Amino acid sequence: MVDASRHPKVDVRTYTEVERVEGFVGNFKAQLREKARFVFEDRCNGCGDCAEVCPIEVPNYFELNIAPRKAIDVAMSQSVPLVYNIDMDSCIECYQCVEACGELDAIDFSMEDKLVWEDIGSIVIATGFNHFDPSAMTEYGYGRFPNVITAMEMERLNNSAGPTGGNLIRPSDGKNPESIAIINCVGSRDKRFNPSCSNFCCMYAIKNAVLLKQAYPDMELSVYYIDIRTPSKGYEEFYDRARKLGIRFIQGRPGLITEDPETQNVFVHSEDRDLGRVTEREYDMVMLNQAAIPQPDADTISSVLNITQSPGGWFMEYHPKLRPLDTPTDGIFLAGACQGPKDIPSSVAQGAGAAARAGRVVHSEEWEIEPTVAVVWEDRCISAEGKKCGVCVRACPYGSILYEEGKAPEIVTAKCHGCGGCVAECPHNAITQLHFTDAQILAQIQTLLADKPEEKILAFRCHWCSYGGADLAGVSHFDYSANERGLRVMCSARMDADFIYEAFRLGAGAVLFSGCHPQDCHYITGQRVGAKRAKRMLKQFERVGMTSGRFRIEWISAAEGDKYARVVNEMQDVLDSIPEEELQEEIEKLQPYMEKRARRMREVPQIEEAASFAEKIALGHGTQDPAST
Amino acid sequence: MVGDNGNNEIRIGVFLCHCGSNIAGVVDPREIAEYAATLPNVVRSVDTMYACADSGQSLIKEEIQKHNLNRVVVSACSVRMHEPTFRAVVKEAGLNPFLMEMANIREQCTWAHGHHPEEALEKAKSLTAAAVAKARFLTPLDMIKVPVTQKAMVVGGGVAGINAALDLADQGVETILVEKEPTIGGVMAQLNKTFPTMDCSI
Amino acid sequence: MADQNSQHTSFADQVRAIPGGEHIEDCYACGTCVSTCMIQQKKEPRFNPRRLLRMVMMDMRQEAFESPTTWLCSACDLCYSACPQEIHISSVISAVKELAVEAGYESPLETVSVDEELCSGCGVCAMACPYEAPRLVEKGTNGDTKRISEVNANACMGCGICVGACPMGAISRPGVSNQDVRAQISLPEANGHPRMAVFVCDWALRVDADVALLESYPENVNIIHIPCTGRIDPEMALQALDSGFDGVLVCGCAVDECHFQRGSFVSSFKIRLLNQVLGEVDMELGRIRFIKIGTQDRGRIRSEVDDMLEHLSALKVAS
Repeated sequence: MVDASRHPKVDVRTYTEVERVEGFVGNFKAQLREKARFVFEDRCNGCGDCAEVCPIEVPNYFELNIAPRKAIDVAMSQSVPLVYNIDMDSCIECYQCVEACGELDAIDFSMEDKLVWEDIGSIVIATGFNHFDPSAMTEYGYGRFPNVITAMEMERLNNSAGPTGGNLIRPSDGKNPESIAIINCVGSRDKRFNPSCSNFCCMYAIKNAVLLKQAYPDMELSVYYIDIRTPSKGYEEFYDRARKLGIRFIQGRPGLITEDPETQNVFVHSEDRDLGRVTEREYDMVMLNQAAIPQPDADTISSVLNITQSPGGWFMEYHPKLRPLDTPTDGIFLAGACQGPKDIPSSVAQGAGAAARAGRVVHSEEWEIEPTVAVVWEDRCISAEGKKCGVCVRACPYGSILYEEGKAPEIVTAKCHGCGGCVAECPHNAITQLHFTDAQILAQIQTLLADKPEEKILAFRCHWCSYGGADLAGVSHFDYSANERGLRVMCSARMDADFIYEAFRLGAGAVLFSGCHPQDCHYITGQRVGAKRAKRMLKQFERVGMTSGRFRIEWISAAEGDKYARVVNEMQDVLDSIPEEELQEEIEKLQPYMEKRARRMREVPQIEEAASFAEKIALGHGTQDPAST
Repeated sequence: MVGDNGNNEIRIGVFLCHCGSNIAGVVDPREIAEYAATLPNVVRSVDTMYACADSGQSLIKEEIQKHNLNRVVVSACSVRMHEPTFRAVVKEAGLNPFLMEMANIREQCTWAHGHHPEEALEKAKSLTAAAVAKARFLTPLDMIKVPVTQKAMVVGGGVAGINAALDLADQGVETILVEKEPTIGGVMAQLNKTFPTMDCSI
Repeated sequence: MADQNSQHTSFADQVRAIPGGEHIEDCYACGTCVSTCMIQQKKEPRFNPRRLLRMVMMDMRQEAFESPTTWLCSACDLCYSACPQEIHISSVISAVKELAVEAGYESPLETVSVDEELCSGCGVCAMACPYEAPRLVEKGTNGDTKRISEVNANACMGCGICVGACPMGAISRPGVSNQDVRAQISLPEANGHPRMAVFVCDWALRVDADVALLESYPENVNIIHIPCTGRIDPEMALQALDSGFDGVLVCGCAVDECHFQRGSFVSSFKIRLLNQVLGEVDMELGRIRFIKIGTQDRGRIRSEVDDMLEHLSALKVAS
């Protein structure tokens, strides 16, 4: 900790939050809120005279609220930086602290939050985790029975730097406990709260048991567990050592804790699986080993930085095996428990790894980004003809389109991220996206629907989320209908209405419009642009009598492989439920409508060529002699 | 918009990956290759055990040069997996990297439809054909080069964040370490001793 | 239900096919269900839902059908609310029971029987039963047909709620007929102390210590054991007061923890009604009390008994 504050290249900004992040790899702009401490960092010398005279005591969050702090205080004596701050919610503004501070003059009640902008090349997210509050599990009586405490409370009670100076006492009467039960998996591996394993708590339980046993050799210690997981180096040996110290390990997850109302001793009811019967053991104290859960503000961070969350709320890495420290956004990396529960060795390793990944970016003179940007065909733009438009400007999440009436818009390439929203929204097909041109996509659609289109489910997927979801469905070997035909664009914003009309005109059985969940969109608001369009189309199709379910909108994240498979299968069910002739009839009936709607696309450069090329593929015979293999 | 390798005729090479048994265990890549060979503008259609391996990469490069290919379709795995790999391969062979298109016949075909090999084969052909269709209209593109601000930001001052910040700083990078609480340290600072070595946390 | 292929379908598949039996493989054998179960601790140490689930997964049909777990579960669902895998264990057990009945096994429990002469076919029993065991059937006796209640012995859990509910006194269960319960009522030697009849639900007190505690008031307290407070007939309380007791304490489970689902709710309602009636005939209120002891209320019985005795003493002095 102190190393960080001393390092000349590290600028430690405590009591500061990230408000906004704009820009792109190598060129981020971050807006930071430096919250008002009401104490000048450069003047405070950490003497503590102010806290001494402060008459107000409030619970200290750092001590899990089991000890007080003053309204002006530091979290702990080793705080870095050792600078006091005032909790204005509890301060009564008696100004005794100002007096005590005297000539240092470090306290300023008029201080306000400051917003500053910083230019940043790359970002490491290491926002950590939070602890599950076990009061939600009434069967364990936390909050009701004073001698049932959490692991973090134990951490402070049995800590020489803690509020009791390391003298372990139990909350009900201040006595030193002679027996303690540690219960594992409190709120983890529990579908009611957090279905996943919290990774480090087995070791954590063993650590606490060993610490206690070393400090109090006569103490009776039991660890209740479902499974003991010690998969890292040295961990199993540590478990061995704990058993040799005489710590009891009882396999059986307790279903109930009761308390003797007189002694306030606690009884743990569990099955002892090795004995095959229920035991009810009395202890002076119980420690609940809480689950690790995502930070309460993880949603905010994920939307500020555009990071996807896995089910459960942890930040999602780009690829679980190959790019575990990267996020889908170039230049933003993950370290530590914000990506999933982790112990200290793994967190340190990830910190170092993320630093290396981030270093790769900031050590480069320049960084290459994909040229899949939008380009305007001036001769097709009606604004250039003097008519009012500006639709493209409204679709752009980045403000990268400069628009002036009477002129064709200008796209600032460095600011364009290539979502393709303006391309799809332009009512005159006057914008195209490099590498995802209308002609390229049309050629794909026509080819995918070449054979028995009425049996096919054409699935439009965004690169970042639903394409990843489809990948995960495959990786997990979830069986889904093989009539699905996938097509990738960068964002649902690019899924042009014309593509959908064209697919149905060609006789597609069903079309899936899928992208990221709104909060996960890689292009800030790209998904909303696509969603609005898709919902409008859904209504149109309803009106013209399309069977419901043939056109479907679904938001599927890269972590939702099961959902991708389920959605495709449900669409297959819809197709199976329509008799063949009825479907054929419906397709024919709607064809003129689709034809009319998609007509304008025919004017786009290369479209006719793309269509005829795809037709040749459909016929299945090449223009040249088959090459030998 | 055509014009690459100084060659106006579209010459597409298709490469079918077996991926060991990951693909070949469900469908026969040779059958897809034979089919792809019949598609317009396809001048070469070859199968290979592992397209991403050295041998596969060399094969693609050799074929490009030998047959003067100017579009490449790799029918293998997810673009999220190997698009950068194959772009680099075609680049090394002198082609613009954006003249390469992938068809995902592993994650999105053989892995998902392993129990229905016939349907999987039909789908794999169709996905490959769609990639060929797109490849016909690919144009060479240049990467956009942007300047880089030589400064990093670490959000969160716990054990992972502190280590990341120190490592970046030791590399000589100006690093801002942002922490929302009044002190850095995170959960680690609240702990007594830490496993498995039982040393002090701070 | 039994299909021809049952020999070839796995036991687990059969259980899974019955609604409620779907989630068996979610079980990771943590033992929480066992630790919450009253039957395991109070009645039958061999009762173990975790092991029954295992038997299903390991294709051990016969053992499962013969296991007490299959037959004794009364679906109180204490385990369900604590199960971290959210398995509705009583539904799984009931699926196993369904297969056991199909295979010709019978419930080993003491169940209720209906006196066909006395039964008026009113159907109150069917409404009261938490397990849908009684149903009304047309039955012919000597040429006459009559609507009477018939009890499915494999569904009946023997709680006695219907016995307490039947207005004709037509239903009985061995050991807990009205006569059996009444026989337990006997006035203790009081030596001037208030005397109290305490009806204890067999399932309400989790801990042996709590039961022992009740027995430590020999001069005041007459303990009457019943299988569930749902079994109570208000008349029994009146009879106790009549025979010289100063008060009646009915000790049942928390409503959502009742071993027989509905018993505690039914009886608390009955006692409230009885108190209202007593109030109307100028009887001092508070002579009859209903208390609910939850699974976490270890030792609370002492303060409840003390409080009631104090109240009764005050009434005695006042009179």
